[in-house]
Formats: sequence, structure tokens, C-alpha cells
Amino acid sequence: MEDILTDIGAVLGVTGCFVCDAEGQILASTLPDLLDEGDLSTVSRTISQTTAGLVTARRRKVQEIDLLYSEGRLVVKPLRDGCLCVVCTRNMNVPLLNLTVDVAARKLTEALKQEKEPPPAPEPEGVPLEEVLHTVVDAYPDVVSPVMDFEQTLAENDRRTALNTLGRRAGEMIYQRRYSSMRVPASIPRGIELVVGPAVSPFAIASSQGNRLDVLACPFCRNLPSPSVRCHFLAGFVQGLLNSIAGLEEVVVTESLCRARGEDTCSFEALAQQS
Amino acid sequence: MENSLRTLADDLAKMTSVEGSVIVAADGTVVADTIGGDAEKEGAVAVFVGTAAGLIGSTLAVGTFDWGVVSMSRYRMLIVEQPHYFIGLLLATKASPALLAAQVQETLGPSA
Repeated sequence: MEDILTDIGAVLGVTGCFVCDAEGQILASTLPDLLDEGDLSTVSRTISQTTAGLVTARRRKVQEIDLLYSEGRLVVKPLRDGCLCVVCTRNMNVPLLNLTVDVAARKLTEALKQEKEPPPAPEPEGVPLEEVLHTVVDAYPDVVSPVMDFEQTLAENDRRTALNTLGRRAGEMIYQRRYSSMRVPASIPRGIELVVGPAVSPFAIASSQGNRLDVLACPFCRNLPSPSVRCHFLAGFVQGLLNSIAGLEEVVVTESLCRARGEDTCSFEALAQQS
Repeated sequence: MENSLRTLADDLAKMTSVEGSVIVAADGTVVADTIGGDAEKEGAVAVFVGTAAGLIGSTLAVGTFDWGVVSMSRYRMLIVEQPHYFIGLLLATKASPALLAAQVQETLGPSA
């Protein structure tokens, strides 16, 4: 994170910059040591509260706050989970500064996302997930057979976690192999349309609508009546794909409808983790 | 004073590239506006950012707050602080905050 801030500091007119999280805690700073930590914390908390308040008041995302003072200037760029604040000279050319800052903001969003990444869910004891994962990914798009074979080896209690974890990790690996070079807008509906739909289509008939993916004649629950949803692999797979898209907020995917329960389709809803 | 602030709000709203104006006291009360229905909401943005800007400026030791701009998609508001109130101007797409801030100072006169 410091390296990214150093790049901003190299722009002529920049005095220093800092990044704070959504609670106003300083995560990194290149500001000169003239300010004590307490003062900087006060500033970062004020900025975080202000941006949060503006979002609440206007129901819109804040893109930039530019504050001009008699002896300096502060440019605030809200990030997904915090803010980037650049202190510069009063006569700073902000559009020019933005050429560097906008790139840095994207990198910082990614860095913050990685830092906040939850530790991987514990794998069920005794389940050879790593081995199966490579079998499934190597077999892609013919994933149905290896997944169903694996499911049969699982105890009832392990099924949901193991299949979801397998799906999530398979989704992440498939994304890296096939979609990482693609420029996908950081939006859940566009991610589903441009990545999830094409990735699922070779093994299931899928259509997307906003944040939802509908799968007709889902191969993972065919002829397997159940009182609850059971396409855990597919839910994890969709989640793994979406969470690999750069800049996209952390997403949780749940199966809302399932043919195993007698419903017409299997449907998967993607929601930003905060909501 | 309220009448003069109403006149000021009208004058500011007539400036090129300004789509509306709001004058809000430091306690958040909208004293004059040319916005209509959403004046309270716009006033809240002006007072919220203006107050925070003052606190940030004194802590960072960057001098007195002159003006600020909040950008939210196509929405942009220019906030100018005055001794007893904040001015919020809704900006058109191609408005220059720096030029408008200078024009506001001219409109307010040398005593401001």
C-alpha cells in the first residue's frame, strides 16, 4: 500500500497522502511527520463520517471531495472500504493529479479487498478437496460427473460446506484461466452477464436477470428431490467467479430456488456482502 | 438579514453554470434557496461538508477553508463558507468551481 502512496507522492505539488478504512483508522500514510497520529486520526474519522453521511443523505456514491484552503488543498477519493486522501498545494492541477490518483485508487481498492478477504472456510475433515478441485478444474466444462461423484462420497453434514467450497475455488481458478484478461465492469449484473453466464453455459442452460442467474434443468439436482436447496457447488462456483472480478464489491451467492424442492428453476442471487 | 440572503440566493442562482443555490446556517437551517423541494437535503450536504472542511483544515494546518466541491456522479455541489452560514451551489456539468467561487466572492463584495 505504501508503494502506491509513494507513486502519488511523486506527483508535483503533492505534500503527502494517506489511506484510512471505513472506520477512519489510518492504514498507510506518506504525510510528513509534522502531524501527530491523534490529529491524523481525527482527520480520517471526520472524512469517513462525512463520506458516509453524504451517501446516506444523497443515496449516491461520493466520487470526490475537493477542499481548497488558503494554504493547501485536500482531495478525497472514497474507496470501497475507506478513503484515499491527498494533501497538496493550493494551486494543484486536480485533473492532472487524478490521472495518477484514479489508478492508485483502483489498486488500493484491490489491496483493501485482499486485506479484508476472510480466511478460507475450514475444509471438512478427511475430505480430499484439493485433489477433487484439480480434477474438476481440469475436466471443465465437463464438471458435472466429477462433482456428482464427489458428492456421493460426502457425509450429509459435510455436503453443503464441501461442495460450496469446491465450487468457489473452482470458480476462482476458472476465472484466472479464462477470464482474467477480460475487462469486466465492476458491477454484479454485468459480471453475471459477461462472466458467470458464459462460464456456466457449457454445462447448464443459464440465463441472467440483474443480480440473479436462473439455471434450467440444472444437472446437479436432477431427479434428486430434497426439502432444501442442494446445488451448493453451483452457488459456490458463481460466487468464486464474481469475487475474482477486479474492483467488484465482495459478493455472497445464495440459491433461492431449486428444482430439487419442486421449483421450476434453480436460481442464484448475488448480493454485495455489506447489504 | 433573511431578505438579503434571499436576494443573495437568487443572485447566485442566476450565475452561469449554476443550477440552484441554497444558503444554510451553521446549525443546518436552510435560510434561503432557489431549489424548492429538496432544499433541506442540499442544505445538509453544504453544512455537512463545510463543517467537516473547517475541522480538517485546522487539524491539517492548511489555513482557512475557501471552498469545496462534492462530486457524486453528475451531481456536483460547490460549498463556500461565510462567517455565519454556508452557501451551496448546484453546478452544471461544465461549471468550473474555481471560477464560480471567485464569482461568489465578487457577488458577496469585499466585506465577505
